[in-house]
Amino acid sequence: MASRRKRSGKLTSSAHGSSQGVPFTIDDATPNDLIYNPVIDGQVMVHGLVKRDHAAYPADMFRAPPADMPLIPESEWDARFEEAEREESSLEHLFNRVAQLHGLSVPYLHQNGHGYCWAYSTGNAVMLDRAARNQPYVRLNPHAVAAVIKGGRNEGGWCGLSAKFFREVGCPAEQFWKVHSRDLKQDTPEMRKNAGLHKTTEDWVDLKAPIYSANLTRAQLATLLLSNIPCMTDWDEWGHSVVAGRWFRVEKGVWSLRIMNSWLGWGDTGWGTINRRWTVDSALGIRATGIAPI
Amino acid sequence: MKRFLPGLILLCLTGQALAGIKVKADRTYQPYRKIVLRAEDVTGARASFLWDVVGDCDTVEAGDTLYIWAAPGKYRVTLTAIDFESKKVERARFAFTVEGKPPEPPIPPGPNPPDPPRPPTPGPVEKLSVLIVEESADRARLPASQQSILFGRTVRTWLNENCQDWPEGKIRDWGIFDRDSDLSGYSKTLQEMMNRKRNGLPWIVIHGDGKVVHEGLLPESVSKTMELLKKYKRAAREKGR
Repeated sequence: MASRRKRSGKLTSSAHGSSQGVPFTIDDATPNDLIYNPVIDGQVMVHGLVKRDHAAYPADMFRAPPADMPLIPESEWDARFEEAEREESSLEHLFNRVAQLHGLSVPYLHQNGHGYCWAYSTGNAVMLDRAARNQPYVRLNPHAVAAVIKGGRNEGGWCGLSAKFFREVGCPAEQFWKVHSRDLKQDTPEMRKNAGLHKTTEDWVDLKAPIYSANLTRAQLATLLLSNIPCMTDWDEWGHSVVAGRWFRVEKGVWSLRIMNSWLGWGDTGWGTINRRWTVDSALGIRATGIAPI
Repeated sequence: MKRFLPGLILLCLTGQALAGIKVKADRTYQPYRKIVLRAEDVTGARASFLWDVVGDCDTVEAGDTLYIWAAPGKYRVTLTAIDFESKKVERARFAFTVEGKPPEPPIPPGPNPPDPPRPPTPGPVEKLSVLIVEESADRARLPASQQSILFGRTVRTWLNENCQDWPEGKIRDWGIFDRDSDLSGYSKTLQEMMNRKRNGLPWIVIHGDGKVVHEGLLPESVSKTMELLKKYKRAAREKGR
């Protein structure tokens, strides 16, 4: 993508779509007020990330140790990226096709004004995985997950907290929990039954175990994303948790994460490239979600 | 062998070795059933390896590595090493045992595993369904060309245009699932396709006219997959509905 002009910090609904052929990017030149709490179409965007406490949430809380993960060598990254561009096979490509198929202008889940990004990163990861497997498009409601975990309070968290809930309970569809509601009266057996249809059933891969180096984390993220396995990523410097869907070549030799945000009206139909000197502070890879047709 | 979990699985390799080749067994992060055998060529002279396993298990062969999903039991393995330069072929036979009870059986073959399909009669079919079975933990090992089959525009668009509707028109009857996925909420056709015996992964099953018309390893490229699928395109009368 070296020849492409960078489109940075245009945070309006008109920034939708990649028709301009310039991927939306946050980089070191993007002004902070366009990054941290931007106002998009009159609404202030919020985050909700609380840094992971490794003492409370140790690396082995998820079953799959990442050390065994086969890694795609860096020498293959260019060829795989170019193949994905040519065949339109990335998660971004295929999720946009799903949106087109269903006539959706906002196919991703957005958190509105609550600090529940840490639940939406997981919810959007599940949405991407379902799309990749050709499961029916169902709008999940991560507000239910966050509200139940936090007892209805508008509080922050980290992606692993919601991932644990997704594995143990699941997440209901929007028909079973009002959109952006924190009302716990909706925590009914019917809601739980529906949530169970969208459990994650496979192991999660914890990419940020302290015993592994940052380089390994980078190689693991690259491997998972080049394999179309979405990863929830927590960014302490951003105070935000989002799902990463692509290992993206910004220019020759420069790789970044292409993420799907949970902010309405942001980026290229929710997608943007994080080409800023930030580090991913916690990341989880999701391999396969609950197999439910509805 | 590393990261051994006592009481869950036990691998014991015994048998004859090939000169200059070490065979190692490993268990990966699918802890209960997945075993990896890897042949390491110390001399660097041999160009290729072929594996053959006797026993009730699923295998995927990838050059010097063999992936096995096995129930407890004894298995016999034949490893053939081929040196293309000297034309020399060597074989070693050895056995391994998996002990311990896995939490669930491997691929359910059923009491009477279905016969392999009759020689297919390629041609337009009605009610087309397509299932691709994979192991997402190993997706990184797939070449980019096979990932393009799974996720690229060409094959997926064709499947959306040609597979039958299910359920209630929400999707077309095709999907990509992990090998041990529970498809009980899906169509009986997809469940039957999932329950069939497989000889490797990724595996593609094509169902039409009420029966399986093709099953086998996923082709190596988008063009070869399209060549295969187009033999079974939707029949004209169904297309018109």
